[in-house]
Amino acid sequence: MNPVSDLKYFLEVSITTFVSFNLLYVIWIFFIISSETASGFNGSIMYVPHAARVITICYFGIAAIPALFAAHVFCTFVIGDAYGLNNLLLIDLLGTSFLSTICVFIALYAMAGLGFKLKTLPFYKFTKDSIYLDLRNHKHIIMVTVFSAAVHSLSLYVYNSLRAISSNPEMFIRFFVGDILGTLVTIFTLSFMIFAFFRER
Amino acid sequence: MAEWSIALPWKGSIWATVSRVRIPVSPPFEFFTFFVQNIDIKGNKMPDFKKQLTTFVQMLRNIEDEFKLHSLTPNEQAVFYTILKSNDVCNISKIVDESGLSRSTVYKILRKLEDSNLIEAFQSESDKRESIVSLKV
Repeated sequence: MNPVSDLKYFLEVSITTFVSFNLLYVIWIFFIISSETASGFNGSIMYVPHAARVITICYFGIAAIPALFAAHVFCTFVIGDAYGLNNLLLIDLLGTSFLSTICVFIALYAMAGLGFKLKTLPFYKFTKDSIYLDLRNHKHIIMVTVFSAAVHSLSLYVYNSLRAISSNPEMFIRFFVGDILGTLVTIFTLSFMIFAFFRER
Repeated sequence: MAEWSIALPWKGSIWATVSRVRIPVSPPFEFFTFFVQNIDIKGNKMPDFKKQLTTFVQMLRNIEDEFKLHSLTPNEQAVFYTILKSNDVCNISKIVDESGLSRSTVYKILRKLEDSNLIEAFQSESDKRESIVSLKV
């Protein structure tokens, strides 16, 4: 391991992760939240930034975690606060951000327990019987999305109940559906954009 | 009386030599190195940022292939756009002239587009030898 190349790689991954999450958060807050806050906010039905979590953790591994956590805190504390979305205490803000950051990580390890392993993640051994998740296959990414949305919504629901923030089951459902829909919309939009702008005719 | 409560009973119990096996000092925790210990797609220890991004773009292109977004060949696209450009209806001679393709190629392409339900062809009322083509969408 070369510390200089490690640092270079870490910075590349961190900047990409931070910028992509912020970008998706801003898009989400501009285009989606304005139509949802009218009837009270119980979790977005299409949470676009979840795509940044799934994609960065899947493709960059644990190197993306610090930047993702920083992006969560920054977006909620600075941008979300400006739109009146942040009514959490600092400790809860950090707690929910931490859970949101590691939800994909936990989901991937849960999937590894079921036999679907991802080569970009360390800490477990690969055997000949392991089924590898193929990062070139969008169906595998969608599977990770569904698992991570389940982990995310469940962990946040438990956290919110324990901390007496909210125990509304609607929030759990909306988080689950919103994460899946948001990720799908982002991935498909990016795919169509690549087709529209970069495909040679 | 011995000063230590668990004093050794006799001098011979003291080892003449201590063990040469030393537990090494743990390496310093390097933040960046810890987070860069993942393994890339091909199993290399050092991950490559560009390769990871390329894999992501490849995944997006696979979605394209899955949904057959680019199922039309360049010649088919040329014919389709020629029909699209002529506002209402268009005859085959015009397509041949504007697309620069041979008449036989244009006929083959029109048949394929008709099978794909993208266009419809019908006989011209003024000239029975000519076919008129229009978009179905």
